[in-house]
Amino acid sequence: MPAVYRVVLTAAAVICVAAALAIPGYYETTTLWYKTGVDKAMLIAGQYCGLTALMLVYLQVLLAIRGDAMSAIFGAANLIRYHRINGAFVALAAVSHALLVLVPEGIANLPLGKKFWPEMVGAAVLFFIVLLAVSSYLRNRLHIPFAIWRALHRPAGYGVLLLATVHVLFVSESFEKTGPRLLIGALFLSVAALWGVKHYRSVRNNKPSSPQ
Amino acid sequence: MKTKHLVPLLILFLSIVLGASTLFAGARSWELDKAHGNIYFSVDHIFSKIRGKFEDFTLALNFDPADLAGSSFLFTIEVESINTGIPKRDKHLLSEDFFDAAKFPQIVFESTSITDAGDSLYEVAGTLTIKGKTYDLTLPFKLEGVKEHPAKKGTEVAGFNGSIMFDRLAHGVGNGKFYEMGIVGKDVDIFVSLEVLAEQ
Repeated sequence: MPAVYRVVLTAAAVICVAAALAIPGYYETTTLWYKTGVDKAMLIAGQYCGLTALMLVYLQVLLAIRGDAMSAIFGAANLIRYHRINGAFVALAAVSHALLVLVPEGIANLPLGKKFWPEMVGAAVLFFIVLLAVSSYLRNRLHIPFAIWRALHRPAGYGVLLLATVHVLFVSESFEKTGPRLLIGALFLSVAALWGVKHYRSVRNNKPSSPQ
Repeated sequence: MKTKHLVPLLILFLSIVLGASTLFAGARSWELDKAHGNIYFSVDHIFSKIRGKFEDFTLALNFDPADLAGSSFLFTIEVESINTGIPKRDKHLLSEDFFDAAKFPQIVFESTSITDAGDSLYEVAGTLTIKGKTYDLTLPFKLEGVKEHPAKKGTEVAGFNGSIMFDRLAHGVGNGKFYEMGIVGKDVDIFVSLEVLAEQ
């Protein structure tokens, strides 16, 4: 039976990612109108990388929550393993996204300042994603005590979840449309609700959530 | 040196300084009222007009209608301050497609001569340095008036308005790609509106 659930949940995740990745094509940003050739191709690729990164962040939080049902279906050890692997993909997608959208505009022409606040939020998200990935993969080599690492990793991860959503919703006019807003909003609220339920149960049972 | 020599030396020094300052004083110096000094532009986008402004610029102004030879305008515009109301469009304008602000952060106009064209109109001829190249340019400014500032006693306010049609492609602002695509026009209407202040 868990095999069926595994297929269903994996299919649901793939459908969510596919729906999100359809947004840039269906709700094309006007920025693309003014790009040609390689610049246009890079910008399109950058948008897909960005949305992929967001979807993987949502998945990353689901894997970190490790709800009872998820653990029963996939196995707690597997969820931890997937979380580690997925973390590397999140970092890869986020770094690729930043490079692919910034290079066509010119690296010397960075969107800095108050009026580019969604881009600045994106820069903060990228910083935290890279920091989370590097500190996790080099934790032993850097001799970071587990308790300290986890105390920082968790809030930073949830911060990335929130800020990445804000960045995506406000950085592109594609997300000014109702459809994309509803989709991203629903996915974010679903992940946040699952985290809330898990957190509430952990507090009620007086034990830390997601025991290692 | 004895003290008695100090007094005549001091007098000589002051005479030289004051004499020189009188000789090179030029026309009256005015300070830009930044809240009421604007450089606007308008350019065609297919069928519509896109308006914008440069929000950060300085003006060193010496002006006296009776001493045009001693008068001068020096505008220094920070390209990064361009604002068309849409940050993404501003960022595109700052890119290599248009101003290439990372390489050429300022636009400078420095007057070389001012002539009275009559009816309070002054032709301010000078050089415009934009994207690393210098071009001759004449800005026609109408002196709207000079009077005591209604809100600040002891201060005089003068007003200038002027507009020109600027061929951006002739001045290297863009390579013509968007013009040929029929998206962005090449002629840019520039409207400069200034209030400048000086003590009475």
